[in-house]
Amino acid sequence: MTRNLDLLAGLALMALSALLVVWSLGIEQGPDANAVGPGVVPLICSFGLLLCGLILTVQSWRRPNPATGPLMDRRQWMVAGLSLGYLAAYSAVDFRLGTLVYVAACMALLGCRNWRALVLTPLATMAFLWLVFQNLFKAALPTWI
Amino acid sequence: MDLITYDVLVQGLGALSDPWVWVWLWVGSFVGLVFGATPGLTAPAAIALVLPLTYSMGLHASMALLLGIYCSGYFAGSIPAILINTPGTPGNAATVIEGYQMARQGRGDEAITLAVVSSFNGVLVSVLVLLLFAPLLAQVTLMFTSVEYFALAFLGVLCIAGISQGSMLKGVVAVLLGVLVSTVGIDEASGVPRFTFDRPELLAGLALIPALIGLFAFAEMLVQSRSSHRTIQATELERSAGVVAVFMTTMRHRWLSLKSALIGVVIGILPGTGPAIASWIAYGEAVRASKPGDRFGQGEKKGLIACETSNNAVIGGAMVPLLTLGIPGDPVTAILVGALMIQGIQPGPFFMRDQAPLFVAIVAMLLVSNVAMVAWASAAKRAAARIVTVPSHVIVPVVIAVSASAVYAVNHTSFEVLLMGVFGLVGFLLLRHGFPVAAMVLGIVLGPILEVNFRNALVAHEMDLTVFLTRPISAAIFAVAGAIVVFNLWRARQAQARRPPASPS
Repeated sequence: MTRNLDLLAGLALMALSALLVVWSLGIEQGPDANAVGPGVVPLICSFGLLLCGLILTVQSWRRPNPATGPLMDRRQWMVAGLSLGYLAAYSAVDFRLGTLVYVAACMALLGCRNWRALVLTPLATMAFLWLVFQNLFKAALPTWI
Repeated sequence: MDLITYDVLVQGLGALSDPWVWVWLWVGSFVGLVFGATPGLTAPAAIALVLPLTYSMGLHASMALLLGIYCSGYFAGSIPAILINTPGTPGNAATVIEGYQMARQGRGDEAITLAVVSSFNGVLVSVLVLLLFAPLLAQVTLMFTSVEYFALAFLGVLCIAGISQGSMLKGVVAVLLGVLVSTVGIDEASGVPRFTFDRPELLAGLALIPALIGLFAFAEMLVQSRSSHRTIQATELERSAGVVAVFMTTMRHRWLSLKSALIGVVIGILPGTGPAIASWIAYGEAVRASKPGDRFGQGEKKGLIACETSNNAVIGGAMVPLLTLGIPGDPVTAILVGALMIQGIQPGPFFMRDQAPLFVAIVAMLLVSNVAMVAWASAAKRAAARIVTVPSHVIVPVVIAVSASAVYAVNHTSFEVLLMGVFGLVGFLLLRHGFPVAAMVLGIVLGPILEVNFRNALVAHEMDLTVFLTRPISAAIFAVAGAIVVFNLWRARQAQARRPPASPS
């Protein structure tokens, strides 16, 4: 879908908020029957979102926005996929190795063809993380050795 | 009751006797300069990224680091605005108009120096207002009950929604999403789990740090990856300009500086606003008050003074509602709420009463960061000019790698690292569809304040909803909120009337 992102957003919002309304209704009342229940605020917010989604859908249906291009271009999809993979595997891989591979791969995906930059930037990033997190702030990052 | 006594003043200023506070103020100021000068990176992103590091720092050292970034980050966005016609942060968008023209005329160095001196003046005025106004306001807010607090928090979220990129509806959506995110986990009042789906990781709620880093840093990096590997040409800095000479220039325009600073302070005090609005209003006011011979749009110094004074004056203004009401005035102060809570400090009505020395220390640190900002900018403006040309194929992977490590360093859980990625994707979708990410962050921070006070107020008044309209202060706040809604609806109608009808495709 390359046009009228507001219509898409409005419809997605309505679907999400309908789900949230159902979940909010399922929240238990809690031990004090006289207090405002824990589900009240989520329910108000969910109904609010549903209403906003409806208004956005109607508005964009009546006055469509000009074409705005695809949600993400090919490069963004690849960077998003690679980055989420890196995040998912973060704790399982030595951070030094993971950072070296991820930064180099991401730079290459983003169009960098300078070999010196492709080697030095990942090394500098890895050294920075090791120095700042591991040594200066004593924050343990995942390591194999 | 005098909140700032001599003893409090001495105790507060005593924080500056720790050499580490000075070190972190200067480090923060430098980090803010680098992040602000890099297009696509902002002060909120910088503060969100370093927030995990503050766990292992003391209270004063962590505040020094964050306040240093805050001051410099807001100024440094003017460097790419002046040199490459691209604002480093939204708060420097108006700076582009005069700053870039000055750079094209070979006055880039003068424009950067003028921006830093104006920013210095803005912070100075706003900190004075903070020092005078916050203790007075704090005495009033001590009399507030949960009814007034709910009303204020409601006004805060409405302001946030109202100023959101011209679409109040999208602002409301972002705020509601933020409030909903804040309800995940076990409800403290009843012990009932909400939106946890039997996942033990969710019982304590969604952690603030992955949300902040995901929404501010990861989301922006996904946006940046679209325009990768383009060569950026920065305008050369030719003639150099001294700080003292430029300071005298701002003094020649002292009334403009003062007016712009006060605009920044007032905008900063309004919850949910920020430097972008302040600088546009101040610039508009400078143009309105222009005299024959002024060359607005062609490198007029007065335009630059107005923008840069006002956007940094937001800093002191935004601290007023944070330190007196616990309500953040802009995205950075929303993160500072989290920073204070990490250190066991609860910003809110009792902050000034219980933490008066810390208030004095914060004011003193803002003043020192202001000096550090001028020193760094003067010493490193030519180096900073090179930062603006760093390509996105370097920025994107480096920022994401640092983000992942920063999140992991807090609790050592892979769940939070992945959560940061999910928030990043949500943030990207919001940005792509024109929803304000900062509004969602403020919703996350204000959500618990809204909910607790709403529930307490109703329980205390036998579930009587009219209590919000029968108590005078609360009624007045809701009247202001109503006026904001009406104004925004009128503005939207005006904008719609001006829009050309859509052509059939």
